[in-house]
Amino acid sequence: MLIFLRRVLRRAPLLALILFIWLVLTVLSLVGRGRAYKNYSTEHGRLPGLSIVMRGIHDHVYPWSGDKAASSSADADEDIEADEGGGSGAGLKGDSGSGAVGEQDGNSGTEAGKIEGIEADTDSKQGQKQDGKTENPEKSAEVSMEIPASSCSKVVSAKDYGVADESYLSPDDTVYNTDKEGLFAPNGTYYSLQEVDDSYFADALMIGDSRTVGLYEYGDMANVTSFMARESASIYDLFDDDEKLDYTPKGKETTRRTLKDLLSKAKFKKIYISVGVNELGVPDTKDYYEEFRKVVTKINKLQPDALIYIQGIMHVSKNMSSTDRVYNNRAIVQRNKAIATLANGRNIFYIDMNADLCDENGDLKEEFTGDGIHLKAASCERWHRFLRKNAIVIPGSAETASSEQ
Amino acid sequence: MVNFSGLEFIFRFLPVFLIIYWIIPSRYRDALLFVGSLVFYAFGAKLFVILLFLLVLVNYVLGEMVWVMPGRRRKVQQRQMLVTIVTVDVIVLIVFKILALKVKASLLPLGLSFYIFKMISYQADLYLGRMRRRPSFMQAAAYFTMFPQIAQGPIMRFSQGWIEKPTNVRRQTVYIERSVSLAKVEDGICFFAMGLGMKILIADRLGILWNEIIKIGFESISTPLAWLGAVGYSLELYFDFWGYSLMAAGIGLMLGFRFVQNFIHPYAACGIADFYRRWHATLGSWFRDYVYIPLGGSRCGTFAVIRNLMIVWLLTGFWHGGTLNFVIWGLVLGLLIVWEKFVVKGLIRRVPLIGHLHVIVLIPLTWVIFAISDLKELGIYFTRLFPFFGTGTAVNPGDFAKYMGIYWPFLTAGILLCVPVFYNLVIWKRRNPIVIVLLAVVFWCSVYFSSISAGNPFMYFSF
Repeated sequence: MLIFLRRVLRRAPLLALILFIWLVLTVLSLVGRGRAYKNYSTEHGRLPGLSIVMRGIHDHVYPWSGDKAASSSADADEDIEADEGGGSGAGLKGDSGSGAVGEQDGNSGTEAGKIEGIEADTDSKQGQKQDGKTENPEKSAEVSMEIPASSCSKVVSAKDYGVADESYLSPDDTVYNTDKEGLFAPNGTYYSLQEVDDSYFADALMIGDSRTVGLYEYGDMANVTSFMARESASIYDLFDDDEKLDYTPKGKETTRRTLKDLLSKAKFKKIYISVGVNELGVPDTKDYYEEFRKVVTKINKLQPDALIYIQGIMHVSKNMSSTDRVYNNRAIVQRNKAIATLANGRNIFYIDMNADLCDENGDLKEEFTGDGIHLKAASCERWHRFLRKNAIVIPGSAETASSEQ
Repeated sequence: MVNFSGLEFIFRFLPVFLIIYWIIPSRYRDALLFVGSLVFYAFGAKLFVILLFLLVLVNYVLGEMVWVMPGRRRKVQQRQMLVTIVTVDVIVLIVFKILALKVKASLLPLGLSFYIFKMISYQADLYLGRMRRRPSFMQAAAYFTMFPQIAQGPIMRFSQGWIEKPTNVRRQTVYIERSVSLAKVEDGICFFAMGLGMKILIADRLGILWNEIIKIGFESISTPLAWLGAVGYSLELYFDFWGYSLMAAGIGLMLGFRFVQNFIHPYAACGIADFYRRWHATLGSWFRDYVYIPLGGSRCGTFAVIRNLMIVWLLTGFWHGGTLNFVIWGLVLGLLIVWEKFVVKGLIRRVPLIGHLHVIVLIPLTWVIFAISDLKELGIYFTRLFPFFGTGTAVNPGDFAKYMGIYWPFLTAGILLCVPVFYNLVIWKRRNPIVIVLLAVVFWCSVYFSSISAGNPFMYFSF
């Protein structure tokens, strides 16, 4: 045996070196299995153990990192959860009634234009509490109300081609936002979407992934508004301390900053969030919703006066949607329905441009996309136009005046 | 799993197969290769493995009939037999190609065009008496199906794999047993690591650049980016295919076969015709031996030579794909080769630079035709390459700088590897400790990238 090994070492050193490293990596993967690597799977042994080590290196998780690294994403949420609801809607309280289109009464004739998936939840059987608060569902039913159709876009539906991998999704009957008070609950103060001009975006911030990068590069908006975007940004890492995004203030040079830092120092009146396509490969919709909720809460805490626009995930093309188990419109629509429930019609709005871009099946029209996922450069202007046509103007506020000039 | 750069293949299938292959007596190795290859094929092509098995059976049996054909009219009957087999093979190929084109792309069995070409070459070599000894079923079956070559070639000849050697015993020829040695295994790993690096560290990275261009939309790219895209795509294709061929050849070496050379520094070629003697050389020589020469080759009148060349290149175009752009691609190459052969031959001989310029400038343009199957989009791309015919829409003039800033390391590495001396140096010095460490680093870096981009749902973060 030893002689054979010596021969291998002498005559096939590359083979020996590769085998040796393989052995070391396999041992490392065994050391960290169940602890540092508990979030990684070998897909039932289909992949070698060393692939876990490699993926760990990519995520800065090592066998000796222990359990902490595996759950690092969970501890970034700090104290914000506890605050949720407390400071919600600050700055808007005084407005209630002044220019609001809705009424305190929940039955304001919104049945026809009811936003899909936003039916205020009164179903006591499914009354899953997101934030640990326990309320008597019967009691909360009394204060439930519906947001008028004019304050948010409808979630655009799409054809299901039956290719979606269910493990990334949540059951279709999952109930999301059930808040009866606080930031995410409608309180009767509502505003309507309307058309504005480009000056409206001067104090806005566009947060997003590569799709938003496209809007910056090709949407004719670089001199109109500020961008905070990066390829592969996702709701999970927007507030990570070591994830910097490209911040490009209106008409200026790009610098790299973390979102937390930016929102703590600069002031914005409107914040647009457009993410969601990268997250399609992370189970599941419920989890995505929870994470989105946390992010919106944090943004509201840092920028209490800002209007927050939750942009529905743009659909993908038929080609993609009918073949890809991850990137398909069934998953996108489900996630849009979930995040749309976060809108309160008061300072959080859901807007969905899919109606302007998709065909009758809800598939992104091929003429607008090259790769099935992103808008072509020449089509980015359509997004810009959609944003102009779907904006909230708070009566009496400074930006109304500027947008009416 | 049928992807050589996939982790399942490198760390599961290949080591298990090789260990069994090395342990068992050499007389069972053909059988093992056949069975192992069927397993491999079934992973990638599912039920099409039945089609493969039937084709192997039919080709072997009909080949046997050619071999044992008795009687005076032997040659005529053999010829009829050959025509029959080749017709069957070609019809199978055409039917599936049409099905894939008209019905669903997934109806094209994995590697069909490669193993059909091997079958045709086998039959022709039998008929032409190039095999002096009757191949056994296991030999033929292992040759047709061998997993290192089944998905993407190279199109090895039977005689390259099962080498004949006359012996003195009763004046018979025998096939030399493939010998496996540590030195050959080491060489095999060396080529495999190099091929893997080319595929993952260069081709796959540059593939993202091409995707970016598709994402932007051709009408909105600047002219410099259009050229960068053409160069990037050319390099992607080259290293994807060369890398694959090196991996296949490396596995072949580990199994005891000889090295099959498929790419011989094509970008160092002097002229388009020379380029295609060096690019996918096993396909080029297949067309030369089984189409061009039987048609009369170059030993006929000018008109006939031109006709033969155009037929060969039209078929090459069809072989690569059924859409019109591939036909145009083949025709353009045919015309360029005719142009070189009959018009500027003397000039290229006197000024080789012209031949090199043909390769460096024209070949990337032909790859653009190869890449874009929608003719309207193809037209738009060319108007961006040559912006005399129209202007783009929503063009960002800073796009070239942006993408050059991201992709220059891969482009530089690719261009350097197009110069033969760098590759040759690595091959020549492959026993040098520095080169060994370098290759190990290349291997593990490739595995790293393969790991973080495959089989990990959390790695969908790419947009």
